Amino acid sequence: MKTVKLILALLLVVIPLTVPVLAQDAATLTVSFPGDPRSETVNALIEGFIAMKADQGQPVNIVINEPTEGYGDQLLLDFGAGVGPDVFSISAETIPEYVASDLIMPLDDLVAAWDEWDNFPQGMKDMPSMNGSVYAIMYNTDTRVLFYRSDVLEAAGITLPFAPTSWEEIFAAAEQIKANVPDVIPMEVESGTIWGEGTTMDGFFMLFRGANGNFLDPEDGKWIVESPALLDAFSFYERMFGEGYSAAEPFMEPEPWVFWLQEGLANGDVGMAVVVNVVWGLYAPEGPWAIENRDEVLSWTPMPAREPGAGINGLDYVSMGGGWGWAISNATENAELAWEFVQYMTSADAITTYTAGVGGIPSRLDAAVDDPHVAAIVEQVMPYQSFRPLSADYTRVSEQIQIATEKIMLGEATAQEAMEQFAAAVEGIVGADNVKRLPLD
Amino acid sequence: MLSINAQTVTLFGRRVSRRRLGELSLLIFMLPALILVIAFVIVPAVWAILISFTNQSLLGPNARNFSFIGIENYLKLFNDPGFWNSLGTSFVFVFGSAFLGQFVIGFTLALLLKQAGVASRGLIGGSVLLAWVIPEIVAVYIWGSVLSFQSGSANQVLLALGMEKQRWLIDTPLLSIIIVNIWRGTAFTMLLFSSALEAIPDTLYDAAAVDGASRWERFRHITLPLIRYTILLDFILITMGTFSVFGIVFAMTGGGPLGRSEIIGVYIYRNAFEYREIGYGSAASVVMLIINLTLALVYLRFTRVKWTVEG
Repeated sequence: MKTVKLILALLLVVIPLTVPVLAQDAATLTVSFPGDPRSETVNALIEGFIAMKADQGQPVNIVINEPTEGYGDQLLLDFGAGVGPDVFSISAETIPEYVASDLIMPLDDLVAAWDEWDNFPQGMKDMPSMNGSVYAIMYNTDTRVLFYRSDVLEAAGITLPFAPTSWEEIFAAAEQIKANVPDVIPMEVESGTIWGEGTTMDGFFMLFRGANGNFLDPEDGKWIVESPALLDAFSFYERMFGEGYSAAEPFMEPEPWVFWLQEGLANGDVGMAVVVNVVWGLYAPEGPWAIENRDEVLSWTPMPAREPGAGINGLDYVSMGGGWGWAISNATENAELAWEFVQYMTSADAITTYTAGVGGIPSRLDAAVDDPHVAAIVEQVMPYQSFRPLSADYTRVSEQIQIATEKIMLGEATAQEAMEQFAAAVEGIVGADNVKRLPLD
Repeated sequence: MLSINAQTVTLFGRRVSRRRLGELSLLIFMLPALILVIAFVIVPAVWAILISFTNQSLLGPNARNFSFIGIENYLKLFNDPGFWNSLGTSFVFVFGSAFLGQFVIGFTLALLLKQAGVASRGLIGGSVLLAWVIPEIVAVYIWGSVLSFQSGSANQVLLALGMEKQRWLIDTPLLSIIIVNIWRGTAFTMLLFSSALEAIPDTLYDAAAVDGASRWERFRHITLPLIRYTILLDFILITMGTFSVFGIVFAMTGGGPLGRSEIIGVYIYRNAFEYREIGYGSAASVVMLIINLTLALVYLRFTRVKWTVEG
């Protein structure tokens, strides 16, 4: 009996080892992407690719690596150890670091010969591009808008639908909520270091772009570390916390999104919040942050620029877009198959499937959209989409933005002081030769 | 192949003394553990020391083509106020949570539990142990809800007592993480001393009592000398353990606000992984390693001198 068990155990160990040997004639592609909640949908798509290749008489073997936690770190360590994947999913803002490390393959010749490339809107071509080269094909994007509780605003005496066209109107609404519905915190704009990149992307940039702010001078590529737009954005924070329209404490606790969004906005304890639009799905009656009567109490409107026309490129409204694309490793030995895989994963059908399964906004104009919320976002917000600066120094500058908002929030610096300290810190990161200061009028 | 008589063993045709065979088998039995220790402790530590003299980063041009830069990382480290801040924070953190907290409370609990009845021993011991066995992140969630400003139970208690709400994580971040770490780590010290105290025969106390020794004298002249190595061991383990705490602080305050609770573990993580400067992060780790080793040596020396003199 013992011998039988031993042999069984040995077989269990040995059989998996022989499988790769038996499957040797199939081309192998290693693929990395962040796991949950994408896992099920992406795996199904990958199965579809394998089946398609099998039908073409070209069996392929796909090795999948899908860490849920710490995807970015793991990917870097894999590349560092020389076992990086052939194809990987990448968040657009990290592309510059991969370009600087020579890890990612430029796709210019491939997209030039690809008849489907023009189904991607210009923004989705710009987002993964750096120095004129395309490095990833986007499969998903997102936007940020101003969500508000209709019931709270109504109780505060604000006319619905709420459609502010300037920051002043947002502050006026906050003042009314503060005066008439004192139990409610009027507004939330992501702040501080705990919220991490959310503070920069969902909070700061939604203000900065609304004041026509730009960090990288397109002429000389220098970081603009002091500008009227930067002061405007920081002054928004100063006024929001100084007037008591928001609260500092919850931003300093672990998982501030639980307080502000999962509970605050869901229960009507928060009046307005600038948030990534995917929360709409989370708040669905059957969603994880369910609001049972969501459609009656929760609404959204595009985030206005400081004043009409004051936004980036003279726009009236602003939105920030992030997103994920598929990229190919510079070290792959299977570039052709890798490109086939990327094409498959970014086809209109695949993106339709992905959006239906995981959420977000499709990156292609010809992907089908069933969800009326997503359709409305595509129509009303996508035209105002702008992106984060693509620079290898971005992550560290972004952290300085978070620190600046934290100082303002805790009352340890005025907007002006925070900007000066930010400028000095960025100068330390990128070097004095790479920064410039615009006159403040 | 193998034949055995009283003094020698014949192995593969060679006569080997039993002593030699004993040493040989000892080595063979130790080999698996030794290989693991070398592979997962020694090699990475040596690797970290080597990396600390390079400008290697996780990303960017220095990721693959890094070069030897001598002690530049160390110079940069010693010129960084952030590093000194994290070192200072770490010392306060270790002193507060390891010495004042875990050691004093854990030791006192162990002494009290020795006197306590079986029921209360199980109840108190069990509840202290509970804090130790739950995962770090769960502990962070629990304490996050205790220290939350708006609705946390700590502030609810203060309100009920007619006092003002406190901004625990903003005004007293270091104190907050010290309390959390005491709560979490006390069980270890308590367990260690409980078993040490169990091992002291009651007859010693009885004899001393007959000789007229007071409670304090019995503690001073029987308990303390007999558990001195446990005290030493506990000091070494909790100091090192607390010095290398990372997860609970990172998840609780992220080192903030504005670096006020940034212990050295968080500083290293930030530089090595967020800023991707693995060479620089390694240099900070090496300094941390040296501090830990020095503290351990000081303890060893201190205990030896003190106890042999008074022997």
